Amino acid sequence: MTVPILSIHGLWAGYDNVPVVTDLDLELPAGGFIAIVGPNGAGKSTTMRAIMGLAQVMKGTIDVDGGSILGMRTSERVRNGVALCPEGRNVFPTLSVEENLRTGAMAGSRWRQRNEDLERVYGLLPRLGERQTQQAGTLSGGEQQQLALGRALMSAPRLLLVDEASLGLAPVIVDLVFDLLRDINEAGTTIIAVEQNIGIADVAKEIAVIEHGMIASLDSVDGSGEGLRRSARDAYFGTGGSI
Amino acid sequence: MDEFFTFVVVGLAGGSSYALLALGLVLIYSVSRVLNFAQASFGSLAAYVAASVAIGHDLPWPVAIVCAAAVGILVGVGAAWILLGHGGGTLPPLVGTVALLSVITLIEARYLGGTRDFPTPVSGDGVEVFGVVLTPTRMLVFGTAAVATLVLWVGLERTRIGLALRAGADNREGANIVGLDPRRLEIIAWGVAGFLGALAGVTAGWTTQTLTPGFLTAVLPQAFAAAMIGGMVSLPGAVVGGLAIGVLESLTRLYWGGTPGGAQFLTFVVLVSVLLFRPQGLLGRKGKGLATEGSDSLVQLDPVLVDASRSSKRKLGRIFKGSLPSVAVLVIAVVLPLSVADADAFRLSLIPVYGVLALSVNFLASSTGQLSLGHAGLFGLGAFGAAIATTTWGLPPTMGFAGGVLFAGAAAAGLGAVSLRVRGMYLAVLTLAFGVVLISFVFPTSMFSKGGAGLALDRPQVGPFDLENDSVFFGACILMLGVCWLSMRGIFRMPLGRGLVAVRENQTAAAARGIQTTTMGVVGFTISGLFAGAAGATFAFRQGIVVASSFSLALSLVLVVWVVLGGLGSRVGVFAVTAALTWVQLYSGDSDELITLIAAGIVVLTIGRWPLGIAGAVRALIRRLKAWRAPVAHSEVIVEPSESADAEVDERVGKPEEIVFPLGDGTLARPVLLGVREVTVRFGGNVALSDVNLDVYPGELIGILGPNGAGKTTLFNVLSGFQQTVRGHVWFRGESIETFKPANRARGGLGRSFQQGGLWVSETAHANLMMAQFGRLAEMSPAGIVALGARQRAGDRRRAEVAHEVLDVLGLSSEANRPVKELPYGHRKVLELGCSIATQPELLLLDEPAAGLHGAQLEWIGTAISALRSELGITVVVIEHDVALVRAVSDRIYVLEFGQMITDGLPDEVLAHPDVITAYLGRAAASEAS
Repeated sequence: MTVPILSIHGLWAGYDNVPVVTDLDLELPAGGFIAIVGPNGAGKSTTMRAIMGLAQVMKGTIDVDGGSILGMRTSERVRNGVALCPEGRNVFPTLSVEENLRTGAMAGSRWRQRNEDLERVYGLLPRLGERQTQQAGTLSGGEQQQLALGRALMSAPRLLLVDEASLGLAPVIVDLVFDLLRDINEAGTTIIAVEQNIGIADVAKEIAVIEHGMIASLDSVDGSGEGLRRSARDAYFGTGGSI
Repeated sequence: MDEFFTFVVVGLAGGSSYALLALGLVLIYSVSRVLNFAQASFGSLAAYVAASVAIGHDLPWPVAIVCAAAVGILVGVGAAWILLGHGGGTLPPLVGTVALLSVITLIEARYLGGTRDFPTPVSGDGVEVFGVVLTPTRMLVFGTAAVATLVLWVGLERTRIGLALRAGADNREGANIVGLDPRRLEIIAWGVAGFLGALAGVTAGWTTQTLTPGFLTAVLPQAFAAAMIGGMVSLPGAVVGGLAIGVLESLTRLYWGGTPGGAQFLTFVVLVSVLLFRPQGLLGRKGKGLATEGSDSLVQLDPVLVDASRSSKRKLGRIFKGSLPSVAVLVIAVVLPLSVADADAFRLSLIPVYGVLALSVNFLASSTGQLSLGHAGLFGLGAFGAAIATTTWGLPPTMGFAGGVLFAGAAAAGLGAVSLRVRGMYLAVLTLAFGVVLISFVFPTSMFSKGGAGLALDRPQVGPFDLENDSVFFGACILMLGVCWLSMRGIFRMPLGRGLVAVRENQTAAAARGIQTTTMGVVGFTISGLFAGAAGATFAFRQGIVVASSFSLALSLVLVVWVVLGGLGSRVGVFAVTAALTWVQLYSGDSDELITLIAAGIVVLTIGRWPLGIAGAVRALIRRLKAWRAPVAHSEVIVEPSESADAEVDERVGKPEEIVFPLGDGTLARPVLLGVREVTVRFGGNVALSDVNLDVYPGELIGILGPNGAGKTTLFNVLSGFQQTVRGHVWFRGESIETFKPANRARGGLGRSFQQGGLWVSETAHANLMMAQFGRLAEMSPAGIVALGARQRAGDRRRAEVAHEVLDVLGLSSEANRPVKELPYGHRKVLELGCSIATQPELLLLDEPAAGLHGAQLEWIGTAISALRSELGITVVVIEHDVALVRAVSDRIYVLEFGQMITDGLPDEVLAHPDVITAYLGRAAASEAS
């Protein structure tokens, strides 16, 4: 029995002593690809941030590869192979595209290999390669999203956390980004993607629905991608729940 | 012409030091968002060390420079270590650096030899270029600055650590996410800034060939001005700014040489102009508009507002409680002077004077959340004002006293009006510059100083009391202190106090509730100025003669140390510390420097942990003792609000009928209450809203749906006045409101709630409801703000009782006196709804009122939203994600996606629209549905 790459038990997390995530459990095998969907305020982003050390953890455990990462600084977690592509992109607007990417390699142990990593990322995201010296603040939303993703990939993470990548992007770009996530996962990176857009069901392997701070249901995609769509439609047409 | 160029060259040399200081300031600000008031003292300390090594110990100059640089780096790193990373807001670094400045200056004066020579290491006749002599010293100074700038630039652009620093400065959150350690970056930046400061000190010393304690502090305004020309973030801008100011200063001396303080005046003008007209600097990008979350108060003070309805109802009890303090003051004013000798009475009379002055600084902090570094100037204005009024204008002394008070108050009002456009640290810099201008430019003029002789004035006879008698005068001083103290206390018990606290704690919420934020700030400044003026006028009569040298920058800074040590917001703490330290100063003249040094040192070391000073620490201790003795059982159960949401503050009964007008040809027209046309908003390259149109008719309930990032909150920000548009029109009640500020829109009947950040979290739930009503009260009844009359006070008590009834309806009665920050999320959302109705709006914009709620609370919110329209007649526009909720309550729905309205209409139509389904569920679902 292999150790799951990520193991969360009884997690209570939030900000300023106010919990948003309540008693959350989650396990993810290496190579997995899980999408976490749910309404606003349910705790999706907070879970991601707690894993990265950017939210307050009040109770519970978070283990990566069997070892607890609670109390570790974010920089250590990055060195341990976890990277976040944050909600709202959070790129460095006055730095160039290439400089942004290089910051992704700084905290990890791969600074020396940064040029190889750059080539790798440019290969995956050619649009960025065309704009290496452009100031990140002048990129379009979709390009900034790709930049944030590329930056996260620069530390060659084993576990990639993606927070609302589709936010504010046109449908055709969203498809591009989701396909990229699938490619990255097939190349060996475990992915957790928090999403509002149900289209993530097309590329993920498992879907977890989060409500009121805890996981309400967990399904693998082959089984009930349909079920997910149905319950989403129910929520949408007002027979219960929210988008 | 030669003279012109010579002065330019001199200016470039002087400006090199400014440029080095400014580089350090910009570096620190970029990474820490802190204005380092101690930057200059890093420099002077390093220069003193260099002097000690090179001259005192006779070691070669390069060794001295290295030692100086090492000291600069150590002090910079140490300051960052102690002052940062405590999360106490912006106050600890601001005050900490001011206190550190005091500490270092005192150390230089006491232990490092005071004023001493600082010869330049190079000699010779220099080079003559185009008739201008370039002395070796000037070349060395300029060269040092040039090399330092170059090395800094290369370091930032080409090294790994430089990239890390630039990233941290650009987006702190982003730096966190990629795993950089912002704290380590800060320490590095401060170390480098310390190094730059050391270079600045040494080069400035070579230029003037003398060192005096704190000599660089006098040019701090110049350094700030230079840094601000670069928008506080641009290094080239800082260098250009420094050189430019150096040259301008030098030319001022050439053309305006006779006037002392001309350079300071010029700097003040530059500072004010940059801050007011181009805060992003000449080379910077335009920043965001008014933030929609949070406050700009330097520190969160303890709850201050008192519940008027709970004060003693029995008339006798009220009278007794009201007059007890006044009686106490009278008693002390009589007893104390009688119990001390005449000579002591004279000395001790300084304590009430400095006490009121310190309390005036404290009042500014309590009422506006800002800190002033220029109150010695207002103090001086009060003194000079009284002297001029009595001596030059020949007014009777009591009127002269009033003159001093009003003079200082008026100046403070002006200062407030100008500096409240910026807040926090920038405001502190402005007050610093203001004080410096007064002290070095205004006071030395002949009207004030009579060529150095000063203004003399005699103490008058007031009724049977001869104030020439020191004991009697002491009693009068105590009376003055008592009157000021009781006034300060009284102001926060008036409705005016609510307005002041509302603006101090949460500018955004205050504006949204119709409170004029700048007006409140100016009121706070003015009152603070009046008190400082009273202290000054009293001081004038105490001294018998007013000279400019009594008022110094050092006094302004020491005041800050006293106030912070005593505890911001605590009258008792501030007065106790001021009285104690003044007493020491009076009775042990030699060690008063040492005492101040210790006091400032304590502030530096403890400000991070206890931003509220001694009083704050004591209060925290008392709270902990109380909690230990009587543990309160906080129930985990969320209280459910009552079923009936129909009892509200002012009831408007009955569902409003549809308002229509028959036109000439018989067709019916509906007037539009809120009209929006072609509204477009851009953030950089990102289009947030594009050609948005919206119509809301009176009495409607409109829902706005859309995925995250669609622009819904941006639309609300445009409608409520917090966001500028690139294009478009907004009409409300037939009037075009695009140019109206948020407070004016709120007063005009356009109300708004916030997702988060609409409450005053440090005050109680009850106080929140009272503050939310202040805007409306101010508009209806100006006299009611001060509530001195019995009728106004009764009205205020009634309002407080009504607020309790509202809390009852909201289900929050048991939490009425708990600070909002202790309330659970659901209760805050409910309270937010209550506060947004307090302004009695015609139309209410509700921003996700149900977010994060579930179960009974969610149901209640849904009922409440409908009740707003049916029971209170308020037109409602609500943003929500809960589609079922929106479908249930709305008359019509608009849908936003990517900043555009994709459709609108009746709920069932809209929710079946294929574009809407695509937006939420993807294309596959849309084709399935059709």
